[in-house]
Amino acid sequence: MSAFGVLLKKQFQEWLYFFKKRGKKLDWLGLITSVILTALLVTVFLLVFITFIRTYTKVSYQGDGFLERQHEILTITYSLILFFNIISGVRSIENNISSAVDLEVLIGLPIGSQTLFLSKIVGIFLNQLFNSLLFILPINLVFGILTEQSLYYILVSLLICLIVPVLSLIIAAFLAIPYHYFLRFIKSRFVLLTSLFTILIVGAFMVYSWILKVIQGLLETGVIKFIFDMKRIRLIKTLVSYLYPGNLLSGILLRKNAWGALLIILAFIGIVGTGAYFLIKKFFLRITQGKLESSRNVFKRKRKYREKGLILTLMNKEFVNVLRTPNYSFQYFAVTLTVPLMVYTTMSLTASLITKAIGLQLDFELAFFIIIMFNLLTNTFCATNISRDGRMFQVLKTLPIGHREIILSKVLFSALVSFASIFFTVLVMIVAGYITVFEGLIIFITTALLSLSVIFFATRKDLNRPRFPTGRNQEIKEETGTVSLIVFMGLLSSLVIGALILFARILVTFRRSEAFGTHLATVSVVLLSLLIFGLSLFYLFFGLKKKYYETE
Amino acid sequence: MNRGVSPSYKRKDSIRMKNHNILSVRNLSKKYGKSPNYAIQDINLECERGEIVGLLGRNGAGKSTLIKCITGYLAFEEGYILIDGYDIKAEPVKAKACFGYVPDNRPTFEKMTGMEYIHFIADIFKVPASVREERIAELQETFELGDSIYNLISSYSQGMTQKVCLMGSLIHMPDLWILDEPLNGLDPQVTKSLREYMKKYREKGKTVLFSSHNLDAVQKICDRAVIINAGRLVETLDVQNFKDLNPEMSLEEFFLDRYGDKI
Repeated sequence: MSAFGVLLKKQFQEWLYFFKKRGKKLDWLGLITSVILTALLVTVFLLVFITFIRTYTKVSYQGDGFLERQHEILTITYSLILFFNIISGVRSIENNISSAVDLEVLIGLPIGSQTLFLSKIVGIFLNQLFNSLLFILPINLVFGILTEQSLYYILVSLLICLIVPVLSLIIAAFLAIPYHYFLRFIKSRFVLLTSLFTILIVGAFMVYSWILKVIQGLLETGVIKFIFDMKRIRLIKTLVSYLYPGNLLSGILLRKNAWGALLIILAFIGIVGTGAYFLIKKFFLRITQGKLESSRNVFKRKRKYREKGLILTLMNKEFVNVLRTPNYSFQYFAVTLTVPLMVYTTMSLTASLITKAIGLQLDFELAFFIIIMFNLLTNTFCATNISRDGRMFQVLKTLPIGHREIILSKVLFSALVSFASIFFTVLVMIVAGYITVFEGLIIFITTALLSLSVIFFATRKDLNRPRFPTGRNQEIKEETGTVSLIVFMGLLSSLVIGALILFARILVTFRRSEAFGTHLATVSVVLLSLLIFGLSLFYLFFGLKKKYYETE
Repeated sequence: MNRGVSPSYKRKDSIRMKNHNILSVRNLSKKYGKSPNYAIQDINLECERGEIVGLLGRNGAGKSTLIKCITGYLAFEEGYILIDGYDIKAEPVKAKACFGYVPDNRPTFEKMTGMEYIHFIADIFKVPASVREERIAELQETFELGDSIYNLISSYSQGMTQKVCLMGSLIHMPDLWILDEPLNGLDPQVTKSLREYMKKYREKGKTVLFSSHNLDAVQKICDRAVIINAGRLVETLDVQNFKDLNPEMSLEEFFLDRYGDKI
C-alpha cells in the first residue's frame, strides 16, 4: 500500500476507534446509541422543518409567494449547514493539521509533506461529505416531497451534496490559518480567554432565551405566523440576497438562474480552491514546525512577590491552575459568571406563565427552585478538585502541610466561586423585584449549604479514586460517574426542595394563611439543606487522613 | 530538646534523642497495595549532619520507594522514620519542614511560571520575603535558568523542569536535601554545577541524600554509598576508605565485580 493509502487507513482506524471499547472490540452499544441519537436528532429537526415549511410557504409578501418562500427557506438552511460545516472544517484542520499530535511523529518519517498534507485534507473532506449526506439528503428529500419538486431537483440534490463539503472546506481552509494564529496568540492570555468564553456563553444563552421567548409566544398565541409579519419578511428577503453561496445553491435547486449560479460556484471552487490549497500547503510545514518550538514568553514581567499565609498560598495555587487551564477556567469562571443571567432569563419567562396557569404568584418559590437547580448543576467543576493537581498532589504530601489544609483550600476555593455566583444571582433577583432581601437571604443560605454539600461530596469522591494525568500538559476531564452524580444531586435537590416548598405553599395557603405556608416551607427547606450539609460533611471527613496518606 | 516522636521510638531509643541524627530509618518495610512481596524490607539507615550519602541499586531495587517513604510521599506499614528527631508519621508537618525533596519524575505545577513555583514553595516553608531574592539569585547562578524562570513550566524542557525543582527544594535551605536520580536529564555543565553545589552544601553542615545510577558521580562526591538490592540494604561503604584501599579500582569496577549484573 502506498504511503498515502497507509495514512488514510490510519485516519479511518482512528475514526473507528471512537466506537471501540478500550481500542479492541467494537462498542456495539455505543454505536447503536450514537445511531439512534443521530436519527432522533435528524427526525426532530425534520419534524420542525416540515411544520416550518408548511407554515412559511403560505406567507405572501407584495404579491410574491410560494417560490420566493421556498428560495428563502433553502438559502437559510444551506447557509446554516455551510456555517456549521465551516466551523467543523476549521476545527478539523486545526486538530488534524495544525495541532495534530501524530504529526510530531509523522514529520520525522520518510513521507513527503505533500503526501502527508493531502492525506489529511482528503480525510477531512470525507468526514465533511459524510456529515453533508447525513443532513442534506433528508432535508432535500422532505423539502422535495412537500413542495412537489421534479426529477431535476432529485438529481441536482446529489450534486449539492458533493458541492457543499467542497465549498465549506475551501472557506474553512482560508479561516484555519488566522484561527491557528489566534489560538496561539490567546493560548497564554488566560484572562482574555476566560472573558471570551463568558461572552460566548452569554451569546449562546441570548439565543436560547430568544428561542424560549418564541416558545412562550407560541404558547400564549398558538400561532407561528405572528413572527413573520411584513417587516420581518422584508428583512429575511434582504438577508437572503446577501447570503452567498447559500442563495446560489438554492437557486440551482429551484432553477432560479440555475446555470449562472452553477458557473459562479464552479468558478469559486476553481479559483479560490486552488488558492486555498497552495496557502494551506505553504503554511503546513511552517505551522507544524512552529508548534514544536517553545511558545513565546508572555510572563516576562517581573513583579514583587509578597509572603502569603498557608491557606492563601494553596488557594492561590488553585486559582492559577484553574485560570490557566482553559477547560477548568471555562467551568469555574465563565459558567458561574453567567448563572445570574441564566436564572434571570428563565425566571422572567416562567414566572408569568406559572401565574397565568395556576393563578398564584409564586416568585419566591420559583426563584428558590431555579437558583438551586442552576447553581448546583454548574458545580460540576469541583469533580476534579484532587485529580487536577496531577502528580503534584503526591508531592504536596512531602511538604510541611497537613491534609486538612490541602483539602480545606480546595473546598474553600470552590466554595468562594460558587458563593459569588449565588450571591450575584440572588442580588439580580432582588433588584429585579422577584424576591425581598429576607427571601434572598434564605435562598442564599440554603443554596450555599447545598452547594457546599456538593463540593464536599465531589472532593471526597475524587480523593477516593483520583485520576492523575500520565503525561505533561494534560488536563483531567471530570469522571463521568462523578459528574452524573453531581447533576443527579442537583436535579434531585432542586426538585425535592422546589416541590416541597411549592406543595407547602399551595396546600397551606388554601387551608390556612399565605404567610404560614411560606414560613413552614422555608423552615422545612433550610432544615433539609442542613441535613444534607451534615451528611456530606461527614462523608468528606470520615477517615480523611487515612485516605489522604494512602492515595498512591 | 523535646522533639516529637512516636511513643514506640521514645521507649526503644530515648537516649539517642539527645544527640539525634538528621535522618534515622529503623526497620522500615513497605508493600505496595495487596502485593504479598515487600518493595523494601527491614531497612536501617542513619544519616549524620554534614555528609553526602548516595543510594545505589539497580532499577526496581527499592531506592525510590525508600526515598518516598522517608519524605512521606508513600505510606508504610512497618518501622519508623525520624527526620531531625521528628517522626514522619506522628508529626509529619514538623518532620517535613526539615527537608527539601526533588522527586524522580520532576512533577511541578505546570501552569505556574518557574518563579511562581519557587515562591509557592517559599510560602509553604514560610521563607521571609526579605531573603528570597538573594537566595533565588544564588540558585540562579548555579542552575542558570535565566529569564526562562518567568515562563510557564509547561513550556520547559525536561532539564529546565528539573532545574526549577532543584531550586524549589533549596529555597528554604533545608538541613536535609533529598534527591531522587538528580543527575538524569541535566547537561554536563549543570551536572558539574550540581555536584559542586552538593559539596558546598555539605560544608555548611547540611546533609545530602540522593539516589543514582551514576557510580562515577557517587564516587566523586559521596562520603558514604548505601547499596540496596531486592528491597534490602545490603552494604554501606565509606567512599574515602574505599578509595584509599583500592586506588586502582573505580567504584563501578568494584560493583560490577561484586554484584555482577545487579547494579
